Amino acid sequence: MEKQGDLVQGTLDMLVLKALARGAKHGYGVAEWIHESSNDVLHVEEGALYPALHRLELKGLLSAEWGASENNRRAKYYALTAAGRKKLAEEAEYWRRMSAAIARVMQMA
Amino acid sequence: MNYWMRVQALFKRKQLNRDLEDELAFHLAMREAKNRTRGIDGQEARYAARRQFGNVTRIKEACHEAWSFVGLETTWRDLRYGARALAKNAGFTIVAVLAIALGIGVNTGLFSVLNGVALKLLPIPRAEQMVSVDQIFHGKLQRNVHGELGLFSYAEYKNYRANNHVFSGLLAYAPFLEATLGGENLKQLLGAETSCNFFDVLGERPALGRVFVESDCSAPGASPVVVLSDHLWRSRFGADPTVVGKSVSLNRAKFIVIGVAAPGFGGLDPWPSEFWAPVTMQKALEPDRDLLEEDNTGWLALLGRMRGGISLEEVRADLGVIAGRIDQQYPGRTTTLAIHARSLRAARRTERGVWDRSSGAGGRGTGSANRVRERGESPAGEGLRQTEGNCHPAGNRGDPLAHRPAVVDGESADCVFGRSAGVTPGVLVD
Repeated sequence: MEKQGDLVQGTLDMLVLKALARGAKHGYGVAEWIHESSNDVLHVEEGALYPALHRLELKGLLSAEWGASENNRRAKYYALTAAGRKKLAEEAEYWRRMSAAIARVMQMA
Repeated sequence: MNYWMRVQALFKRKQLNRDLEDELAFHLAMREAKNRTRGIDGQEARYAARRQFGNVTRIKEACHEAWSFVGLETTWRDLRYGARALAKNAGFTIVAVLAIALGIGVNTGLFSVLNGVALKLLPIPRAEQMVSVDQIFHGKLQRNVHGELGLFSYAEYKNYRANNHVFSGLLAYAPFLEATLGGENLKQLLGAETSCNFFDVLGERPALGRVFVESDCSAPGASPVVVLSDHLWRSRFGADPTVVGKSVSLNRAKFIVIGVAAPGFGGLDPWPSEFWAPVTMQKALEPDRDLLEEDNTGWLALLGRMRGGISLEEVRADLGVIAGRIDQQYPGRTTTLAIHARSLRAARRTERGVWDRSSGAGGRGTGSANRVRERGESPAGEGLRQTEGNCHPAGNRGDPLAHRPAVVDGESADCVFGRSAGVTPGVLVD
């Protein structure tokens, strides 16, 4: 049973990449950004977020660096690599086409 | 997937674990702080953060899996677990290891033997053209056997050789001829009497001297010549390059060495021959019998090289006609031929027998006649047989498989008449 605010299957990677498009963030920042950007509709499960971040890092789509957070704690910051930017563009284009197609189907009388 | 990073991670496992702990702890702390800003009390704010976060251990495992070679590490863990379990049960482990080792050993051994003697083609040029020919007799018949029932007499061999249209060459040989090589130290050898086209049909060239030519087989006893195996030449004659033309004694008969076979050539049976003599010298090697003159005595194995484009079916048909003509000379006898692609198989189904090596030093046999009674069909000597009489001859022909008491059809018998059973052939009687 899907809960309100669960992500559409297969979109987590794209949302993570998008969250990092404007600059490096730590994992908590990514989750919060997605939550707030969707007007509190989308909720990222931490159980899926961190494995996804590590997977994307291993794929070379993200780079990671340890730094100090806003409250001066040690935090791991993720940033898009060039490959990550390219992947984000592809995913966004694919999503645009898919969502438009789904919207068209749903608008049919 | 960046394998290099994963390999590096293998050596930085502790560091990775620490980083992951810190990363997740930071997330929880941030969530807890946010809860507090929403007015949730200190302790409750922490619990709420944990509840929202979910199972920390599971998340760590999921991250760890991303960094590791899961399949490989699981296998390694399983192996270590298995090793520990086996180490705890030494008795069971030893039995299991021995059972597996025995199983593998037996399988390997059996396949090696099977491959060596049954599957592998003869080690000669164009071996796929070679076929063996065996006789299977039906009906009631009387026949002398000097070896096994499926063998041919010299007259039959000449008949098949002269009248077939399917072979570019048909050779005959009497395998497992035991002979004593004379000299300062007597030596027992295993050799073969062969037709004079033996080496030509096989396509074997000598390493030294020559092999047989047809004139060597022109008349019985005419050409006391011998070809030595490379092994015998080296072990007994010190690889003497002038051995050709020298005289050797085989079963006290003088033979002239005319050649040395190519290294590695040991004839057609799994037990390598040390020498080859023309089939026409049979009486010189086995003085108490003149098998060349015995038209109804089987003692020669036949091997043909098929002409190009000839099939096994054509061979069967062509030789079948000759078999039919020979049968007409022996009322009541019907012969079919078993024709197979020839592999280096075991001993041409050499039968079991007992022979007396102790009195066979000179290779001269004194065996008395063996009466072999056969009923009904007997494919190549596999039928019901009973033996009578003294069956303990001192044989010329050695069978490496012999020296075993034999039992025929469940009944104890003095012997089974076989290649090894001496120089005196059995007589099949109705």
